[in-house]
Amino acid sequence: MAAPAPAKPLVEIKHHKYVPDTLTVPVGTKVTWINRDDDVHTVISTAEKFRSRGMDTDEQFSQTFTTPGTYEYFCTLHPLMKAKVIVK
Amino acid sequence: MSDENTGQIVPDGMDRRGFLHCLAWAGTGVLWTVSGGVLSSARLGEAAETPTAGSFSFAQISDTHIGFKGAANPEAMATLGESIARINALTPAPEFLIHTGDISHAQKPGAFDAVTEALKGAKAGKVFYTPGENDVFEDGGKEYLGRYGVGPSHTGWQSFDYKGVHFIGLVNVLNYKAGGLGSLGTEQIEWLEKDVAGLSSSTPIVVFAHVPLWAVYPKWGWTTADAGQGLGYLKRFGSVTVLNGHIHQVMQKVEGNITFHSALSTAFPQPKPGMAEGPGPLKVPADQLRGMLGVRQVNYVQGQGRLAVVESPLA
Repeated sequence: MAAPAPAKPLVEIKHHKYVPDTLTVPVGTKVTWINRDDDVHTVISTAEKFRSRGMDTDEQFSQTFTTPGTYEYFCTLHPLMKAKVIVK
Repeated sequence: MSDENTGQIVPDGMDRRGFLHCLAWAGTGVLWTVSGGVLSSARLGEAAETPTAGSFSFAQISDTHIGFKGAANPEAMATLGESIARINALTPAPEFLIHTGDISHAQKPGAFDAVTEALKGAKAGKVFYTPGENDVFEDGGKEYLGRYGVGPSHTGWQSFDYKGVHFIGLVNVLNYKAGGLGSLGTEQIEWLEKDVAGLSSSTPIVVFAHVPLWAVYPKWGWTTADAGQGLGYLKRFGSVTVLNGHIHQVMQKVEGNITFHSALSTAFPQPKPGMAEGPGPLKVPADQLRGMLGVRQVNYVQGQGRLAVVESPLA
């Protein structure tokens, strides 16, 4: 696997998608999600490691990742929306 | 998507003339029009004749989304008020009301109270609710079921009989799984099987749920994973009318004796399937908005096969 690109730790939610749908970050990174849709969305860890509240338009949620691993998450309002954060 | 999903209402065992005659009979004093495949009504200001015993009308309201403040309609409470005025103007008057979910916009504080209070102004007697995902996602349905929970073990699903028609309210928005679709679940399907087991096949059935119980557009989640399994227990019935919300637009489909009807929202429209980058509130010119919001009247005429579903947009 290629070395992780220096990614901006931001995930935008737009048109019912998390962009990017895979974000790779170093340990200790605080990742922020921002909702650009007029629908409410959530960021919920599939393994129940973290959980946002309902995020309305332009609202944000942040989570700091202190342990390496792959963190899958989805939207509990629109479960077809899923993505992951890879922490190295 | 196929044309079937947007097809006109196809009356069972009646030609269109007979169907319109039946509608006119059911709603004397109402001018029936067909526009773009959707039946609309306008009052003529005449008093309705006394309906025949056993025949009745009820109304469906859906996706009130109270708490929504987006550009597609910052005045969702005002359009709810207009929708209640439409209900109160229906002829014949509905005998009860069914709310097919997304009462609140994302469980915003005070939204359930606001809708409950507002619907007290609807001259339609009792209100039956079924939840949308916006009503249950934050707490797994705790608040919703605390307020509206009915049926076995307070699950939210329910059935009741009204003047010979058997009504079934299903819940298909709980227990969403990552990457999945809404579902009924084994427990609810088993309950449904038992619920209809003792009914004669000639009993008219009305099913109501939030998310469509047919595959409108699975890519946007506009379907219910195990709906086919649940509806399988209804195939033997001569007349099954399925009412849903969620997609904020009128759509019909006929499958054998089952007719599916998706309803308008009172808050904001959504794009047609696949006609945008994703689902979600659709901003339209202000003079078009009220034509895309509204409520629905459903008329049951005793002795007739299929229930007549009539859209009543706000403008």
